[in-house]
Amino acid sequence: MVALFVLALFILFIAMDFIVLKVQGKTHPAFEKVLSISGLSYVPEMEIKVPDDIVLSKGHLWMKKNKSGLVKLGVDDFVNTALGNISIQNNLSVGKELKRGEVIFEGKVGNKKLKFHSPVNGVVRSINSNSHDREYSDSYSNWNVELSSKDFASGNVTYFSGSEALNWLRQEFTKLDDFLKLHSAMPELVGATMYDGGKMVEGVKAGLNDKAAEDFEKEFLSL
Amino acid sequence: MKLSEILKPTFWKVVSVIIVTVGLYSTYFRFTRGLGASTNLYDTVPWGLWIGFDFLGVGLAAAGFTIAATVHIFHMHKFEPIVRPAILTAFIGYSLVATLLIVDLGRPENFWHPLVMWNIHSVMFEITWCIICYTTVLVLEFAPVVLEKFNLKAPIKLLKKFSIPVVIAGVLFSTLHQSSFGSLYLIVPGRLHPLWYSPLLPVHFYISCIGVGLSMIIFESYLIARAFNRGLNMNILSGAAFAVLIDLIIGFLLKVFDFISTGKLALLTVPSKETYLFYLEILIGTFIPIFLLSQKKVREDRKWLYFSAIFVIAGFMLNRLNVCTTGLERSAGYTYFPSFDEVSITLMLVVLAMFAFRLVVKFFPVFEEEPILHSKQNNVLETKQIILSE
Amino acid sequence: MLKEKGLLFDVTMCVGCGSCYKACKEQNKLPQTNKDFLKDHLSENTYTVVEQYGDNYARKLCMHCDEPSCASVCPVGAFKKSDTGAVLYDGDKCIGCRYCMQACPHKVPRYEWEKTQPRVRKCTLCHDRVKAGKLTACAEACPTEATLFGNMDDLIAVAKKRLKENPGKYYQHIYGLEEAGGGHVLILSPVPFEQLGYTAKLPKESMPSLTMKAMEKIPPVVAVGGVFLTGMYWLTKRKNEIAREEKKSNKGIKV
Repeated sequence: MVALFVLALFILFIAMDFIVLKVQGKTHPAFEKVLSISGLSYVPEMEIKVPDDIVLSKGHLWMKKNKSGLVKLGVDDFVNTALGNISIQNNLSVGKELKRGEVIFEGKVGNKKLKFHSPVNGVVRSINSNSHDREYSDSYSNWNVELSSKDFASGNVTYFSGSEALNWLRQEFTKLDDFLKLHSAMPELVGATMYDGGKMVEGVKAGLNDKAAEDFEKEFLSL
Repeated sequence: MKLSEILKPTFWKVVSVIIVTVGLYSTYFRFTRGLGASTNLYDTVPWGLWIGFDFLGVGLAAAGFTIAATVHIFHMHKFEPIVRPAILTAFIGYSLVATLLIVDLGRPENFWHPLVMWNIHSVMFEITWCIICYTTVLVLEFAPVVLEKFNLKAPIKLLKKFSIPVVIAGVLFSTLHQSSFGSLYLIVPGRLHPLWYSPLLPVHFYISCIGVGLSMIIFESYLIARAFNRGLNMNILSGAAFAVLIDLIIGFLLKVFDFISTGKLALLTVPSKETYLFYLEILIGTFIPIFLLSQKKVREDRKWLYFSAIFVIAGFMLNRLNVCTTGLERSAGYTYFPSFDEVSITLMLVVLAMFAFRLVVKFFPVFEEEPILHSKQNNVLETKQIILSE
Repeated sequence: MLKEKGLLFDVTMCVGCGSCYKACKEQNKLPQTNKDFLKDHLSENTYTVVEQYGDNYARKLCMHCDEPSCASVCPVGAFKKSDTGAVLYDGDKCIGCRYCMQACPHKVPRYEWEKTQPRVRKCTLCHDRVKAGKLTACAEACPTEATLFGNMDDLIAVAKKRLKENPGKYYQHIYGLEEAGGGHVLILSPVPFEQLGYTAKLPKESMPSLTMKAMEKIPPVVAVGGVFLTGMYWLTKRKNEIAREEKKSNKGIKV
């Protein structure tokens, strides 16, 4: 009897946690959609999450519409993985009207600036000033700009969500791998600094030259 | 974290506060009124939920020695990232067990007696000493993490020198006391139901603790992923799951051998409460997880791996509690069910243990070696990011 | 030196008067626990009871084993076998783990559950009286000599004689002589002992020997385990080193 009681208690707490997460609109780690990256030469083995309520744009900004109809935007996992710790510089002010394709903010990597483009038409509602306090948070809770947008779901823009997003990200990472191959002048050297077994490139400071930055923008950040 | 964020009520925060408040009151009640008023224990059922929970806690914390041995003795460095969480789990688990044991002792003020009054024939005496020694080992194994935080390099160097003997000692102490929890019942052949009583009880306990310790690490990884928004390293977890599978199969074969060699097979056809609970234990803790984990697809699927770990843990809980409650019920002639105070004190300690884990993780670099990029802290990201160099 | 003492209880001679029960309570200054002594059970305030099974009365008390489980399992050695044969408990040592109660094959030790500083309670074979050369209180009080006190050798001889002389009257077994390794309370009965609520089917070997079989393996496990782990440490380390060196030399050739 005691055995069944303790077992029931254990199951009850697990079930309750599922329900709590459901009510909060979050996904339990066991049920997350995850893309695992492996077998690439320059991109390390890892897992990329795409929550169900997230929509990705072709320019690697994620969007999430909340109940009041406002859309939060931020940089996705792909960019954070590829560029590391980029600092976002907001040049917009609240109330500014934004057309699709216009620069929404810039990301600073080393001494280079990369332009991110707004995937929707909209009006800037708020800007997250402390978006860099990233401890214990992931890309998708770290938003940069909030817009009110009327054409968020309109058909002529390329968005990805769910398993579609995972497939697209897989292609993007493969593309990134080729990109890194092309832009690393001494592949043997990079190869030698890799971990045993792993694919991690360690200890080399990020140094983007003009050409690489330009190409990266063209390849990955354009709409 | 800001104060406002800490005070922001969430479901689990509210539940935790309630559990701890009620538990504290029960603790006060237990120490002022005695065991008779606060528990449903009885002369023929002297051990109840608390001792049962100690059995669970020690088994679930077994990954502390298995993972340390895998990485430091067998040099399988793939598992390096889970060494620290495993050791921390073991340390907190053992602290919980020790606290609960003191609550359960009739004369808690005499808890230090085994240190000076020896009876080397007693399994309980051996367990007490092994647990004290192993907890010391765990402190030594976890000390570098604390020292790293305060940047004290000299003591870390010193500890590194002794790290291998310390790990070996930890494995030996664990082997002894994990199996000795089974030896506790060797002396009661007339009281423990033959479905569970066996001269091999210590071996059964040892083998099952290895599997469940690893399953607990898997289960815990999901809890950590959920609580700290971290990724899951499926590569490591699948590896651990494979070890669980091997362990479960060995444990099952040993059980079959045990039943055949002692002629207990006929017991399986006797319809009784014990038989049904035994079947349930084997089904949940052995058959289902072996069936699931033997498929590579399951081991690599995060949803199914999670459920497999839950099955192993649930089966283990049934096994240990069957040994220390169900199997003794018939001979005791008394049906024991834990009292409110017993349950609330136990729940309180579980909540406090989880809180302690959270706190340590927040302030010390427990996950530092995890290779997943996207949810890393900033400084780590910088050294591990992918470069766009010339 | 004192010869080891014990009790012989003969069910056929017991009339169920309860004199032993009352004498025990008086001797140990225990409060009344039940108006009808036949309905009482062992507790922290009752060290012996008389139970009725049809026409038979059976006494229950500590069997004072030769190799007591309680003494073997106690982590602090609070139980000791005295030279009188009694198994004695020292409440000052006790930490209250209650393993003795779990381990006792006869389910004898009782606990002061209601106290905040509880002790284990059980029959002491009237240790102080026996030391002073007296009988136990129960044996002294027994009007029919159903409970006999004496040297163990003598008691065993008496018991064997009774079984031999009256084979029809007795179930041919001395309970307590070999059960769980034997003890200092022997019981004779006209019916099989399980019918009188005694724990039958106890193994003849002493209970602590069951534990010792496992405990004996500790030194070899530590020795073999220590050597094995150290060996594996060096082996796997060397293996990794060799693998690394090979990798390096392979690369060297390519360049």
